[in-house]
Amino acid sequence: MSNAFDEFFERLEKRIKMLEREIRKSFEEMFRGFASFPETKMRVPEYSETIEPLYTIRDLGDRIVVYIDLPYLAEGSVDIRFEGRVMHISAKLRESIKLDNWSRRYRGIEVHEYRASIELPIEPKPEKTKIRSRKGIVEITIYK
Amino acid sequence: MLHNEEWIGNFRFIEYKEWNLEKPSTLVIGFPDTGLVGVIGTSYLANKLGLEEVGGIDSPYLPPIAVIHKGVLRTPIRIFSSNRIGVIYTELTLGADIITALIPAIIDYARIKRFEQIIGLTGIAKPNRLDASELITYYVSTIGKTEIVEKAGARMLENGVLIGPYALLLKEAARRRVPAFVLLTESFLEFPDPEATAAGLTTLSRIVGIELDVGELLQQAEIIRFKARDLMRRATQSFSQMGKDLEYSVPLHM
Repeated sequence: MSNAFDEFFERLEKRIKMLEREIRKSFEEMFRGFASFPETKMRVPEYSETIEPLYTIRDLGDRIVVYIDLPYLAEGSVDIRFEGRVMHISAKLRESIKLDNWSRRYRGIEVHEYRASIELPIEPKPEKTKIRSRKGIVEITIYK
Repeated sequence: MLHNEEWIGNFRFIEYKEWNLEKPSTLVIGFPDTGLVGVIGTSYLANKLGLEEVGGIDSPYLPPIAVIHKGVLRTPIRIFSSNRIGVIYTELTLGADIITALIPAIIDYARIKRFEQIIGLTGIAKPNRLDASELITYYVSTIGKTEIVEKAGARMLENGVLIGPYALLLKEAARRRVPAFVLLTESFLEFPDPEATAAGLTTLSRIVGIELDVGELLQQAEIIRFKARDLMRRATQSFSQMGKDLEYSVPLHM
């Protein structure tokens, strides 16, 4: 009789553990779904003496290439520094751009410089990094 | 200011004055897309040809936006025209659901106004764009290989995938038997590309048979890139939602 009870409780325990695993899995999947929701935080365009340029990162297998759009760039003014996986870039404009020429709301704002801190997918090594610029676009190649 | 208004689907087409077209007439469409070629190009075209703002499109399905131009209230999607060329232009980055409803309404409006053809102006992402000196303009047409477009210097896009408003323009125009072309000039995907725009506009001007000097566009290229930074950033966000990266991929079908 006690054997029958033992078997019954063993089966019950197994069933409860299986249910627990299924519930945990469902919760994990549900929270993974929440995590993949698009970010809804509004990004307000910022204008001051410095502005953030457009940039894009491409993974070309053996290397990561970062392209940064720097129209009105003053040649020779690009400064790039690495800090762990973060790349800091600054570059001067050929001449300041007065934004009140486009809208009075921006009166008093003159843009002099681009600045950006870009998080990279790998930690760059200076000896494996190449930089070139063409038509106001800077290309930074970081070999893996 | 309101002369006439007409609802097509859920979109209100407003006319500020009576305007009619002479033959042959072309409607050019510019939406935020690859390299902002369409938006920069149609804006330049309207300015350079001195097209008059004759109307606009509004809808309860568009974001609650009022465009103010030289102190005058305008709709978020604007219509410019001369006797032979019309331009529909917006800087709004619209979601796929709105685009899906808007494009058929625009084509129906073009039929009502008796435009003989529709041309979509845009870019097509070129992976090594930074090193490209010669930019090719491709075309896709609802009527297949087209001599006048080839003579203008465009090459037929034989394989590939289009994603976004211009893909829908072709599909809906074909369904309604309206002649339509999309001109796709090799360009940057995520950076505004006035140089590609100039190449696309040159082809367009030959097709339509107008003289258009793109020198000013090239001279102002850097300042246009600077000004278009925020618009490009917004458009790029919509690219990822539409799966625009698929345009970059090599076609598999042999």
